[in-house]
Amino acid sequence: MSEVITPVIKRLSVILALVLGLAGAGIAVVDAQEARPPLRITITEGVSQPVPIAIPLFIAEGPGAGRLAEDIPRVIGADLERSGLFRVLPPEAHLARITSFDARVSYDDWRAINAQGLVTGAVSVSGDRVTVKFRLHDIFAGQPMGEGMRFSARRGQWRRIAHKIADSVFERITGEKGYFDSRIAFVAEAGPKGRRIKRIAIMDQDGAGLRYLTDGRALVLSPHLSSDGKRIVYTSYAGGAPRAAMIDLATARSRLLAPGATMSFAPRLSPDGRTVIYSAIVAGNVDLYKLDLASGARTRLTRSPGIDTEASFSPDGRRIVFVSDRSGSPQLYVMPGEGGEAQRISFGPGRYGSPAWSPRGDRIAFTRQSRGRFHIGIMRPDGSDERLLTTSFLDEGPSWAPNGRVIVFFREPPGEAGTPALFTVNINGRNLRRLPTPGPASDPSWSGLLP
Amino acid sequence: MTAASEMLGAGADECNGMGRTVETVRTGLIISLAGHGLLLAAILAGEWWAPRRPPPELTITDVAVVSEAELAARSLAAPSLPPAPQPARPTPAPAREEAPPARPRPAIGPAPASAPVPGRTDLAADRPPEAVTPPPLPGDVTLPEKPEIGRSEIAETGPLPPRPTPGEVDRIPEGPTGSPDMLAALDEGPRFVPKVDLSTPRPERPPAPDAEATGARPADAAPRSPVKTPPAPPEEAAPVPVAEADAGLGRLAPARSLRPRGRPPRPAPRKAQVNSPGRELPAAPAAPVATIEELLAWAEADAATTSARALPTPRPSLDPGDVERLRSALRRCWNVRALGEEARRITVTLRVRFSPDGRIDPNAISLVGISPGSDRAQRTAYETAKRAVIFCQNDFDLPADRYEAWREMEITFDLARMGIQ
Repeated sequence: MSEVITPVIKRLSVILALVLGLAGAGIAVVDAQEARPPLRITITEGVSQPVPIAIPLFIAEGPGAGRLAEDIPRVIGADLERSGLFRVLPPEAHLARITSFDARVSYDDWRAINAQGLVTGAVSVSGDRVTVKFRLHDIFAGQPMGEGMRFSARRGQWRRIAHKIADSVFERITGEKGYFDSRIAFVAEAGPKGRRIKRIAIMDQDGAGLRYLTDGRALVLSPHLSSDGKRIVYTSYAGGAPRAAMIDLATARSRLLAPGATMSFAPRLSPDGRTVIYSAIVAGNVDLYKLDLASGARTRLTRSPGIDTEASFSPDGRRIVFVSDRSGSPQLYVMPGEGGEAQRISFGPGRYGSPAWSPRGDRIAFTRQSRGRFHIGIMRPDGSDERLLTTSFLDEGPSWAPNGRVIVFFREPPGEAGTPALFTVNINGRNLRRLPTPGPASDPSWSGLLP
Repeated sequence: MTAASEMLGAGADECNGMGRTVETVRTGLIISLAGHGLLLAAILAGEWWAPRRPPPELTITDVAVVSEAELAARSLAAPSLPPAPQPARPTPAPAREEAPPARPRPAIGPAPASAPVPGRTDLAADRPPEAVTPPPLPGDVTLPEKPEIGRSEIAETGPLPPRPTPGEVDRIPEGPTGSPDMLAALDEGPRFVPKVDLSTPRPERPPAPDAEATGARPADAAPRSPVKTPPAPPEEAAPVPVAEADAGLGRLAPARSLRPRGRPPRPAPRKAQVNSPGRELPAAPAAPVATIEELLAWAEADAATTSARALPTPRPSLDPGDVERLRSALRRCWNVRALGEEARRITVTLRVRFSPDGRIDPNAISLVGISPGSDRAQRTAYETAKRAVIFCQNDFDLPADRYEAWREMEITFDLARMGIQ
């Protein structure tokens, strides 16, 4: 068919092209008129203020929900405020009342008190189950941000629901994962300084739900909580000498990890929870060993004449950062997860210790001691971009929040009266806050986000 | 020309709309006929010149919409709770002193009954209630039981079931991410609706009194909406009475703004927004400053034969004071505190179209450029930038007599240099 028409088309196409050309030109003229170059402006700095957010009481739907309808928003607000990124507007300031979960939100009333976000929710209780639905509203947009969500759990777990809601809000507004539905293991201390009783304890990230996991008869140190929050490895002196041990949280049973009479300590779990890496003293030499939990197989990872200890896995489990004094003073080294050649990454003045690889993989937190002061710092895994976040008489034992934005550590003031306490700090060095613990506390270890 | 117009309907409308004169010349007719014939032939013959360009604006909008929807679609998503990793626990160990809490085995999969341990629950999700005016609740998450000390596992997701009615709370395995409904919800998108009341024109800037011809900028005739601290609703709070009172004045404005004639020194300290009590008619407009850009723009404009346009001001431009005020307002309103680390590295360029009264049609903010990053980070960066623009529009204080200069802007938000915060 095309062969038949081709000659005709060839001729006509010239005209067509002309016509189209004219049309195009017409459009071009119109465009030129419409599209004058817009004013172009580039903004390279902003302000940094906590984002004002309103979390009015949730709606109690049905009997038995009244108390939770008050408590859940309170826990959400406390989570968000502690992050340093939000400011919760006090209820007295609210102009509007939320009377029903599905009623229209009067955005103007919230705009008037300068709220940027609004969390509304409703609680219902049926038997032992609590169901909470919530929605986050963007006040400026005058509409919900994304869709709502609904959580349901046993009544005893209502705080976890609140934390999950806080995580959702955090994630939706900051673009980063939250860290509120997580827990922290630590060493709870009691008694006078020379005679401390130390127990492994675990609590929610906000200090609630504290439980003790050991009885305090034996000295315990350096717990490390698995990222799923199900197990803790730690150093136990139950037999007099240090031994790496592990507690299964579901059963509260513990067992020793290293064989025989070998002194072993500073155990750390791999991110997948299948492997433990620890230090052991063999023939007077301290090296790192790896234990496969399923098979019980052990591998020696380092063979240096010095002390190699305090290992921490990268989140993909393929690299290990640890402390070694092979150069003469304690410094940080990185080596492959299977052992092998180690690269020194710390070069600043002073002594480095207790490295912890961020769950995001992009940084390593550590303790640095120099000129009689202790600092918590962070650096890139290649040792670059080192920043010190804190300074005090004694800051030690950093551990990362699940989202890699916050670090928990312990701080101990000098003197007899000085007792250690847990603190959190954002990785920009701001928002230093003390974590509530019933007594002195040290050696914190943060879980991942709970499933 | 006629042919062209007819063949490209949209273009023709535009041409006519522009008041262009359509010549009825015979050649035109001929071309038209030829063109039409050819068009028919071509259509019959096959897909010849298939590619047709949609109006350019559409393209822009598309970019915004697509990326927004996409952004939103992925990350809003419910608690995409990860499957609880389930390493086999081999060895039971010697009991410790503490009472071992019963530890439910995690069930993975939709069936909550799979692990018949009392008290065990699943993480489940159900779909949001349908047909409720407010947006739906998509995720229904049943928190796993926390076995005393322990963590609990969560039974993991499965396909999302159809939504239950609002009241019912089924425990249904949760879908890890989005769902069609979420997408739909998202398509409605982050549409900012700060209730712009276009019917109330904003007061125009009164021209400078002669005495100030030295270049002092006339104080604002009308108080704009409160400067945001008393967080009144951005738009509605605008002091309507004054605006109306000055409306007549404002109408005069465009007529006065002529092409710049020289550059008077311009201190531009018009911070103090005087309330124009006397409402005297100022004599002369503040002469705009001609910048190179502006001159270029004029040249362009002349070449493009804009004469047909019934616009009061052909090619005005903002003077540095105006631009600086705009900038500082944007800086003040761009709150970067809650931007995550990745979102801070993302550069966002918004195209903003203003109405002549200086307000922003929220729907006329489009995303014209964004640097690569995760959806979540991109969306956050975009929303934060957009919020700055909407939040601050009352502080821009743009000269009404040069609307054409700021009618459309491209604002780039770039925090890259500030590093980790």
